Amino acid sequence: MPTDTRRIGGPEESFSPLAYTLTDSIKTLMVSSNGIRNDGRKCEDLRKMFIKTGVISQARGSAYIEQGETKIICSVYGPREVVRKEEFSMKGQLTCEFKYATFSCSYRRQHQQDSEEKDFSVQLLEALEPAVCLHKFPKAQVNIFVEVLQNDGSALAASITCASMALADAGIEVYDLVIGCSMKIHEDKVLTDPTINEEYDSQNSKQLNHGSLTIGFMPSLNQISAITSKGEIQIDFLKRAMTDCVEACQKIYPAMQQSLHSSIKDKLNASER
Amino acid sequence: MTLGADLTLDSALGQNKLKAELGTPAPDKDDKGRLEFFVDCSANATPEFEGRGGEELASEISNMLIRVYDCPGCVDLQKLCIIPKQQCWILYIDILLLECGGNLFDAASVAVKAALFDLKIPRVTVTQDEGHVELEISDDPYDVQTVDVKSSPCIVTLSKIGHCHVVDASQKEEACCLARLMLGVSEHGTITGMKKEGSGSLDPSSIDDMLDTGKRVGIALNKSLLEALEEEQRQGKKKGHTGFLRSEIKEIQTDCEIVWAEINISGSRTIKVSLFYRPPSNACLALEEFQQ
Repeated sequence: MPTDTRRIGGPEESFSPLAYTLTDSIKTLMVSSNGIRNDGRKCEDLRKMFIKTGVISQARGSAYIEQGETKIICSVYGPREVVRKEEFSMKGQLTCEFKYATFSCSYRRQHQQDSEEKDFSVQLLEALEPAVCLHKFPKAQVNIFVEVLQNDGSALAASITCASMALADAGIEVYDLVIGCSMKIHEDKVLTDPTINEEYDSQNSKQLNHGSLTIGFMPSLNQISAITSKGEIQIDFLKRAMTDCVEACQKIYPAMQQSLHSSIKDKLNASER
Repeated sequence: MTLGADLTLDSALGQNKLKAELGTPAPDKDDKGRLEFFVDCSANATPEFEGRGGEELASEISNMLIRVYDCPGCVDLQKLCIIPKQQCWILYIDILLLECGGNLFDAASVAVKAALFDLKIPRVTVTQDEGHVELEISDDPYDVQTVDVKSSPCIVTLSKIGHCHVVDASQKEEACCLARLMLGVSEHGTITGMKKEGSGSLDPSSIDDMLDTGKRVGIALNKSLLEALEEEQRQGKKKGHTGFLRSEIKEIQTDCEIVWAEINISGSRTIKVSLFYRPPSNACLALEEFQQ
């Protein structure tokens, strides 16, 4: 792992104290017998959500999302000319950069992208690519930057939603919005929109049917643009979780529409004045 | 110690080397050993891999492998731990891509499983002496422990072409496929990891169909792979070479200093290559021998 030599790092062999304090007891009781989760939600309930577009003035488009304690900001730049000439293409290009802010997780993240962040960047790109009309900006590229300010679970799902809102705010032509949603599969229960304590962790999970599923859904086309899962899950559970995910996405859709609607209204009012 | 598994899956060629090393366990998983995946795309496969060209694909393959092996049922990592919090085995899995013929992810996962099956780790005995811990690695090459790979997953990639989906897509089929679903399937048909790839999107009902096909193909793949591996183990050293690279041909043997090698390329004739040494002193005699 290459490190940035210009920054002063900690001692070579140092571990976060969190690795030693977290005990299994926190995670064992995830759902009480009457179906109520640790934060008082029912299994199928989403967390409270806040979306706002146009939060970064320099960017072509931007969006900010809060999903419970998970906070993500995203900006979109372009379409601009492709710098490297050998990458000429009649289709437009899309690039994504996913980054956890160094202070966003319970332990400190590095400034450089680690492999999880790179993996999420690729998944984010693949979730958004089917929705964008790439042929509308040939020879050019659009850059999407996603920064997680606070991570309380479902970061990838929230960033898919956030990035598609930022694309819409930037006026990039898209076929549809993309909505991200996560599920945690816990024995015979499917928990919607898991928090960080509920998310899949291979260390504390038992053998079968513990895992997570994230999808990117395009509501008006009824198409799934991204789907990823982790953990060992039986196929029937996976299918059930997928249907639940799609249902949850349908619930988020009106909130996104409303937010875009009000942001356009604000823009019109501002230009009239 | 190094063990290898060569793999030819139609024309996707993978070479897989496994190295076991002693190290300290990760602080959050202190009673388990760990697997580390490294993928190297050789520029022999395609000129695009030259320089850093293959890095993106390499990280995609290793991320997918990490994802499908990231569940407690896949490999018993607790067995790889020697002293909790202090010493464990780290298995470095190096995958070298030699030729691209489509379906790289599946080929890589089959190679990983075969290499893990082949792995023999020397037994380590721990002796405690006044709070001082000593490790002793067994000298006996047959005193080894193996890794149980029965439940480790294979990746099955389903490529959506038009309204159908296919498994084990060739390079040409991959070129006309817009969306792929990659599944890590265990021998019982459970999914250990899933990822969609490609620039297209999929209908929820077609994902259902793809999952069903993936489960069926995955169970069959795991079963036949394990059978093939066990068969190979039974035959032991006597087995004939069937892979791409072949070392020495025993049939052609003469008195002169000559080495023959045979190269099998699927779909074309075998090539025999020889290296002949003519001693400077008796040129004629050696050449006569060579003509034989």
